[in-house]
Amino acid sequence: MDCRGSAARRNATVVDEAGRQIAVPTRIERIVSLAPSLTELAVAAGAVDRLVGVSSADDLPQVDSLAHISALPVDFEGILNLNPDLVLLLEGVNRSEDADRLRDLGIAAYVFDATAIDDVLADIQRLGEMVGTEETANDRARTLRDAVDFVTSTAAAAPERPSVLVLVGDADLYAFGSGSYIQDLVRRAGGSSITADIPQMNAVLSEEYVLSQDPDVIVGAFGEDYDVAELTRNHPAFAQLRAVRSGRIYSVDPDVLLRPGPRLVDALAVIAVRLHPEAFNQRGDGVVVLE
Amino acid sequence: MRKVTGRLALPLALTALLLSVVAAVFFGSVRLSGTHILQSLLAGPNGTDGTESLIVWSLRLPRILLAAIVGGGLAVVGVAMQALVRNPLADPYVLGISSGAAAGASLFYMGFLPAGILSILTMPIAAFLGGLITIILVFVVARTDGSVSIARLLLAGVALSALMASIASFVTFSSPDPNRVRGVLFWLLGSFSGARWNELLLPAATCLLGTIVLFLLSRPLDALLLGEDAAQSLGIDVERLKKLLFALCALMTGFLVAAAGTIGFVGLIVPHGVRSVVGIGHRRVVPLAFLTGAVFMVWADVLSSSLLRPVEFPVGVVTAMAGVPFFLILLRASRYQFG
Repeated sequence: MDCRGSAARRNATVVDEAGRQIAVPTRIERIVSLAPSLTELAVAAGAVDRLVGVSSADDLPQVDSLAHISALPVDFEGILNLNPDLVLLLEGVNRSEDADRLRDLGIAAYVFDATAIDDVLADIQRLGEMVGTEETANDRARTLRDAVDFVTSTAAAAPERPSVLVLVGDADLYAFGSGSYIQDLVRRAGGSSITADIPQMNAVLSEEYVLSQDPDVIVGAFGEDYDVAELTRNHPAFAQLRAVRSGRIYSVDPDVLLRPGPRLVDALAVIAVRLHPEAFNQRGDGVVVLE
Repeated sequence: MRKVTGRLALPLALTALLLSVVAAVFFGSVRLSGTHILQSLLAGPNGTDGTESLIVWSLRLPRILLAAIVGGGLAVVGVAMQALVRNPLADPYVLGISSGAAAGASLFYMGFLPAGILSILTMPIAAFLGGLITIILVFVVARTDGSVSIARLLLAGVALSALMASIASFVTFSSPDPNRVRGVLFWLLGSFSGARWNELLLPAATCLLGTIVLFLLSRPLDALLLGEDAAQSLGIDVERLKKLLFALCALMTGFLVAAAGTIGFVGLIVPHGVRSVVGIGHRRVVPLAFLTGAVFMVWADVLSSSLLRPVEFPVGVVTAMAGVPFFLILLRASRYQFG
């Protein structure tokens, strides 16, 4: 009895990024996004007017009036009640079991997996294809691609590659390990990440590890108004760090850094400019890509 | 008086369970009209098209039934463990068996144990073995000169519970897969979210089997309450009975934890309430504890899924809030004994 729903309309079979075969309706009028980065993906793909529900963590003004659905645990009733043609899920945020459960309920559930900026750009085009907004999606992806290429090549031309620590938390040293999109961001921004070889995708670092690696730059997702002295108040030993002594701790908007969606391009630009201010100043247009 | 209530208790509890299952269908994260729900219910699983029918038959009913099965099963495990140690403070959660099962299951879930041939059975069996190791360790520590000290038992339970919880945490933290980490965190606290029809069979069969075995063992269990020597003199092979109870408790707890996570204190509250109505005879206590535990859990789940709607919190929070004060009162009433 689990396999019903609006089965009559569907006829396209696609493989999502978790390798699951799913049947997607050819006409997609109603979309539910279960992660903020996917909502932003839908906006970039020109599909914002198809959204009927978003996750409870979503805060874009364009989706304020839509139903906000709890994503952990997934509120299946709330999703069914919206009668969507397509539900968007994100690997690492949503559980793959939840996607299977939605499929069993007769709802197409597409799992995205973004481990690099290229994935995000491809995802915009892919969503555009599925929804039928290719033109907007391709335009947007091309603009973002130009910005990414500009930042990457400018950063690559810089003479040195500073070592970088990207932190999520300033008390617990929560960070990203290998396989995370953060490694791609740091590489493109012309730095070398000190967490690139940590096997866990998410890890809490020890103070000792940070001290032994002694990064040149620390980038934290602590918000733009963050007082960088807070980090050394929480970790007095960090006063020794090269990054602290040279004043190279930068805090950025967590929504830009922690959502693997189109805004990663902004995150890339912010990090690159911080790592190589002279390279971007020479070109004189370092802020162009920030929009 | 007790005889009359005793005879009426079973049909009353059965009616309460049926009514609760139907009533719980009217609660959920989405507000549906009562008439629509009733129509969908009456029309059967494939009776009507549309969202209401799907919500009622594919989401709410399997979830309610899983809650009923787990609640009933945990209550019955409580009865068996309390007979085993002759004290009403025993419960699979308090004595660390649930944590042991969770540790076993998370070892499997995080990929430390191979999936094996029967992959559907591997996680429940891992949970069963974790629970079995824990219950044996707890008893080895608590037992002195042929009798079980309740203070030692509870302390051993606390210690083993902490050990098993840290094994589960270790497994969780060492996993490279954040997707699974989040899944385990929620599951460890107990939840019926996302229950499916095909996931009901295994816990249902285990609970049914366990409840029937314990019902058939009513007389030996009654005798065990008199003390092991007394039971022995009544011609009961006490050692064999105890081994059987160990295995049965670990099996039921393990399979239920694998299905819904660790949910505490049901095995404590429910048997106590049941005994205060029908006395200590297991022929009545066992089936009644199952039905009452089922009713309790159905409503605990309704609370956990609709109090903060549309956000839901783990059902273990509800049972702990109800159970811990109860446990403390029992602990304080030092004269409390069976009968």
